[in-house]
Amino acid sequence: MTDHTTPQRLLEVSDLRVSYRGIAAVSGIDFHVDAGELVGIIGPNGAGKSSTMHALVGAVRAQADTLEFEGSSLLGRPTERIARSGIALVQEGHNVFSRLTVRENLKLGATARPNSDGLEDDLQWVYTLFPILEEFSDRQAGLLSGGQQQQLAIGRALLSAPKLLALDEPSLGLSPTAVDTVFSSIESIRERGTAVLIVEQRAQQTVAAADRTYVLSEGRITMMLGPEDAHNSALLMKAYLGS
Amino acid sequence: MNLIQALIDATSTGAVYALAALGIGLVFGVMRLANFANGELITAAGYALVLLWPVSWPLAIIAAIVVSVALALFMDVAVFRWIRSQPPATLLIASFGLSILLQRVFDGIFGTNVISAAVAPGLAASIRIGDLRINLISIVSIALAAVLLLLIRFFLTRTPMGLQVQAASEDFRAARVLGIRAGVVIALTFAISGVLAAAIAFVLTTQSGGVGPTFGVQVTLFALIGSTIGGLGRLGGSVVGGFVVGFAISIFTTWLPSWINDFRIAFVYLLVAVVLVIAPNGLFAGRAVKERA
Amino acid sequence: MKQQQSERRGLTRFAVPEPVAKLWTLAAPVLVVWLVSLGASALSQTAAIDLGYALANLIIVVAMWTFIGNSGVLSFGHIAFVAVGAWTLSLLTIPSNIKAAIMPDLFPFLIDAQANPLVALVIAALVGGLLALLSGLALMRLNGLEAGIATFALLMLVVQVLTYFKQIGPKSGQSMTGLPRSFDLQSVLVIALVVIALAWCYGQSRSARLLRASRDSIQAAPASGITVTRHRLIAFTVSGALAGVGGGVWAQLNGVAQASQFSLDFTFTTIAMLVVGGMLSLWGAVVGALAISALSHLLGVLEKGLQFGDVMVSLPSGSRLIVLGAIMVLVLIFRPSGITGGREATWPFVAHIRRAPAAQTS
Repeated sequence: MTDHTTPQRLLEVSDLRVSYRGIAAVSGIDFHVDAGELVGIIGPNGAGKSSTMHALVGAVRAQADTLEFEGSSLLGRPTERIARSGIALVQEGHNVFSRLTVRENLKLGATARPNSDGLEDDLQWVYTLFPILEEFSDRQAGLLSGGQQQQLAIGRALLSAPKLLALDEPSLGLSPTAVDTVFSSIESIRERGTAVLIVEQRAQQTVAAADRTYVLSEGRITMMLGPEDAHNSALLMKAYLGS
Repeated sequence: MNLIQALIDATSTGAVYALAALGIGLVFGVMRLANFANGELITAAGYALVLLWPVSWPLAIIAAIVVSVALALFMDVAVFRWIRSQPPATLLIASFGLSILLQRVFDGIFGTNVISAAVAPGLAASIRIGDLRINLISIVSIALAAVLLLLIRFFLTRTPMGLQVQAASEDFRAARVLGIRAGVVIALTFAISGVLAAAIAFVLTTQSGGVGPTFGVQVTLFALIGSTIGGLGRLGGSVVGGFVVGFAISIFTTWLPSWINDFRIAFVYLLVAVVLVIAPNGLFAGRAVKERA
Repeated sequence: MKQQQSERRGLTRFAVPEPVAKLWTLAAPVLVVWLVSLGASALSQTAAIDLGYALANLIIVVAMWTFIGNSGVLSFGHIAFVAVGAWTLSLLTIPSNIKAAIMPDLFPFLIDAQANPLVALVIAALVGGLLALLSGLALMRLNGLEAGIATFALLMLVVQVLTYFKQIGPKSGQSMTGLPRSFDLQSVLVIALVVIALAWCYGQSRSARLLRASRDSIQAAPASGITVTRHRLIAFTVSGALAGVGGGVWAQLNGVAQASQFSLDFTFTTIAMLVVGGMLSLWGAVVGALAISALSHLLGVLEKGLQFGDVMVSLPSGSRLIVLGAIMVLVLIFRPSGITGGREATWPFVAHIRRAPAAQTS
């Protein structure tokens, strides 16, 4: 559904603020994602990464000058409507419905699809991306390993045919091989034309993969990095520790 | 007293309480509301049945379903929707308040006295198999409960909406992130609890023939307590818990000798207390069986 | 009252030492109850009668707060302790010959048992507390919500036993009459104030403070579950004893005790008082009980009918509970922490003391 020929602004965020009981978690950040882009946000624990993601899908109350997706404001829109307008969030901590089977989880992913055209193709694609999901399709999701659950969560999100896939710390708590699977799948997803916004603690891998990476620290964006910075360890260190 | 006969009666009572627990459990699953006012859905459907049955029985049945579903949806829209994010305790108190309020409203409309009518008098008969005498209504209520349980099970596991209800029961927020419409799912579970209430009202009015303002309270109270000992939030556990309590009531009623028969209800509550001491997290906590319902 | 406080705060910033501020959380409810009683008893004959019931309800609501407010766990079962208290006091104060006449099946020792009303009230508290302790052993093992629902079972169990157990009361469902009236309004007021003071003292205890600390973080710290259960049990027992006192006072005022009076309606009325006032503070319990009682009185007067010139205005009977139900639901929707916001009474001259209890609203 996304127009690939001309890069268009998908997500526009300016002066986004989130606070919990008067304590600021995100204090005025600006960023954007264009169609087909892979954008990263890195930062240490408590930098406000998850709050940003939750604000995006309306799961926490946020204030902003602009919080627009395809030109229309997301502010005050209920979570389910945001999902239905094309943003699929994969929440932190391989969030699957553990009592349902893998297949049922995937089916639920299609809830937010505008229509079922191409659903079968998408499903086959998800199965090629994560073959394990096809093999275990009748298994209870709660019985999968952490890495498999994360694959399921991503696959499920993809079945909503999102224009923007938002990943909240997809590598959290996964084994190194599982992390590699996740990152290589992100490449494929992006190649298929879906824009990806990824929030991570793994700085190097994220910076290397993303077109642009914002460094978030104590609720503010302190730096922006390009893929060429991935091997500049000094810079990454500085990004993390703050100047 | 014939053993099999008593067991069938107990099973039928248990089945009715299981249905009540199912209605409560479905709503509890998606919004953590232990709906005490479920009893007033049963009462409303009961009034529809006794008032309209003499006029036309199909009309009475349809009206019972319409009335209790409408009242269930009204509860959601007028009260619970506004306090959805409050803690479960607040929701429970609100439903308790709503329950008492509605009882007084029934009082005002229909009077404090029981309104009687023969609902489905044909079912008052019993059939004989050898020296076994089985009440027709017992068979009907067991069948009705079985059909409804299977239908709801089918709905939950085989239909897209049912899957959404299951997903919302497990993690409401995650379900919304997937685009599942919270309001629709909640309204749906309220509507189903309304349909179940109508079925319960049918069985109860057929048995008792009369409806008063607190008609649905006892079943609901027992179903709530049954759900609690079965494991709230686990649909299968709730249903089994409700069944056990209903079964126990019936068995105690038939088998307790007359000098302590007055205490049958007290014994049921005592049984509940014993279960709680043995299994504080519910009888079926931590077993896979409970998810099958 | 609120208005006055904020005005004064603007004028004088008169700081008090911490202990005084703390004592104020006791003094304020005591003063308010005393003043309201003074006013109501001067108002009219019916107001004075309703005041008696208001004070009995106040005692019960304060007793409920002792458990619900401190533990954060609901209880729909406190009317069971009230019933037991009422029963105990009735059995100990009704003259033996009347008891023998209206309750022929009573245990012989109960026919003979007699006590002075105050001693009977203390025994009512002990019996209430004992029942709470025993039932709490089962109930307090449950998680919060489940415990709340299971307390319904306790209420029903007690009502059933009192209805049918003719060795400890009248034959199935009949009423116990012949209760001599020994407490006048003045002594009921004193008892209510003593109960408030006792509940307050419990609230200051280490056990209560630990319980309040666990209230919001029970899910976060399941490791502390065992000690929480113990402190909950203590709160439940204290609360059951105070509710027993409430039951005794209630029976005294009512003159008749009957098992069916200890119903869901009674439970509802007292819960509504607690919720409307704000169930997390003693101040809330007191304010709620007084406010709802005043409203009840007003509605009661209206149900009987008021003459405005030639027009007789009257509410249909039974509208009291409808209005009460509606108010409770509205409060839950718009101000779930109650009129007081679940805060204790604050010393009117300075702002900084209110902080500690305020953290509990959520």
